[in-house]
Amino acid sequence: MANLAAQVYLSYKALFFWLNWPGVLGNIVARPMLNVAMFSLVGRFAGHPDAAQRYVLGMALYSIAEIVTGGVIQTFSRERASGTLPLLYCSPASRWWSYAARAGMHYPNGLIAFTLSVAFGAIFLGFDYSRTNWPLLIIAVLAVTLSSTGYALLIGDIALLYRNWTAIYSLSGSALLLLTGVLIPLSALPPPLQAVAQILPLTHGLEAFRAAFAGGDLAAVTDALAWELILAITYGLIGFASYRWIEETARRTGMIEAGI
Amino acid sequence: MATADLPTIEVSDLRRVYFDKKILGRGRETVALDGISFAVARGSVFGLLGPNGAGKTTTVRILTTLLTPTSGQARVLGLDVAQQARAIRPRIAFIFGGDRGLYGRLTGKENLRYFAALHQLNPREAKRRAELLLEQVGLDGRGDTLVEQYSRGMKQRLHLARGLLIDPDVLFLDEPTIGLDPVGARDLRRLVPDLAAQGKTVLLTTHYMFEADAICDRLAIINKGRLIAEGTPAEIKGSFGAGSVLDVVLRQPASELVAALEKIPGTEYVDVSAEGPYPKLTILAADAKLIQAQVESLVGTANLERISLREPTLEEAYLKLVR
Repeated sequence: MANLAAQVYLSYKALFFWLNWPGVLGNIVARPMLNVAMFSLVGRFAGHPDAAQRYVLGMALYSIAEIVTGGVIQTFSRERASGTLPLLYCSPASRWWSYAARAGMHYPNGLIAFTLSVAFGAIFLGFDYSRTNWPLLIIAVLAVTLSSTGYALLIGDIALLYRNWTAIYSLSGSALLLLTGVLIPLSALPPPLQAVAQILPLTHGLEAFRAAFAGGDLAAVTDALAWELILAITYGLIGFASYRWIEETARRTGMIEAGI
Repeated sequence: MATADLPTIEVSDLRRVYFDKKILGRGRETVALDGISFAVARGSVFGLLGPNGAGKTTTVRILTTLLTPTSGQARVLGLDVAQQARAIRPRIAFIFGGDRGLYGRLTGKENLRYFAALHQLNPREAKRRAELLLEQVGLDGRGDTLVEQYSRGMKQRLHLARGLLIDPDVLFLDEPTIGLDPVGARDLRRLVPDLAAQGKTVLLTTHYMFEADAICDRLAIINKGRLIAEGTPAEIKGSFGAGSVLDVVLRQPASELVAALEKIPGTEYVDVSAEGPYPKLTILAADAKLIQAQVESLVGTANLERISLREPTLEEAYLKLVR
């Protein structure tokens, strides 16, 4: 367990460049709150209080996916750039733990960003959380954090293969922002995109999250939460299978550092 | 044969081909290893020499389980590198030269702690060994400094400490003295035979012939994927037969002389270098003593600063073999 904790903390410190106060304040504290503020004001400017509320809730939950995905992708990308993959591959380390450890510290970061965004909405933007079903909201948030982590690990594999992590990050983030109902209701999307939304993280969790904010019951969103957790596990397992495939392909092709 | 007598590393008819795939059209094939075979005894230091692109690093990558062979077999500690990689990994260390392979944002100690965790070492034992090794490689007092602030030589020392952290049975050193200052390189050259004396098997690649000559029990020279010589340093040097060398120090530039000297019967090659301000010719011949008079005549007394006869070095043997 101590070795796993060491892998989680040290891989985070080694490969993720936000472990300093300016980085944390800028990326985990300020940016999610400013996103919430911006979209809240956009909604109000457009004259739709419902839209403002929709945007705030969507952006607060999206901040989890943004933080986790960005962090994990950077971690994988820098692993490759620092030339340490051969040492990982010729070590007897459990591949499952080394894979999961890459996300270990980003999971709490996502939760912190979300909590600050919600608090910011209440304190500075006057959002009313009096009807919120808090236990359900917490379950929804944890489910979304898990699914975002699974998604991030799978996308992180792509960053092991290709150098341009910023493009991968932008594409994966934009897909979530556009298709999962963060800003635009699913019903407003063309049918093919609605189908894609069903297999993306956030979509179902966001449904449960919005229900929790409106004071809904767990029973009404059990299916949505179950789907979110199924997607979390599916993304995590596909990501792990890809991680192993990359290692085996690298052994076969000799392209450990150059990508495949 | 008793298990103790079995070679720690056995390479048999090893071949590795890289395929450069293209989406359209046929890809390119590069033969990196073309059927090499050698064996390394337990507790010995084995050197792999060869020009850039000869196949040394490919060989090391196969032996460290990072690359699968295209054909042939490689065994480390009696285990097949392709089929039994998991059993080999806890018992080997791979140390490569250069800046890569360390985490710049971690301190030296944190790097060691991380690699110890990958190898599932007991944290307390790992900490004790890390401090001991940092001292042994000359980094005591620098363990809490971020590695991005290390010089290249310090990084190389940390690579060595990382490799020794797990107390491996076999060490693979890929150009380990690159970037080391003379003191660091000397310390490493002293350390390697000590490790072998402890029963560890060391396979190293190097471009420094004097290094190979000084610390390797046996050597193999690879060129274009083929093994072209193998033996003790003395045996490799002896591969010249009755070869010998004339060192000729001139007072004037040598460019016009080289072609004429190469035409002297029995001359293997003529190499031009400098000795202080003077041009120096190194003439390798089947029997350099026999051609000494002709060389002196061609050079001319006025241009001759000094001439001397000697046995060839390993570097000269190497140059002859790979040319």
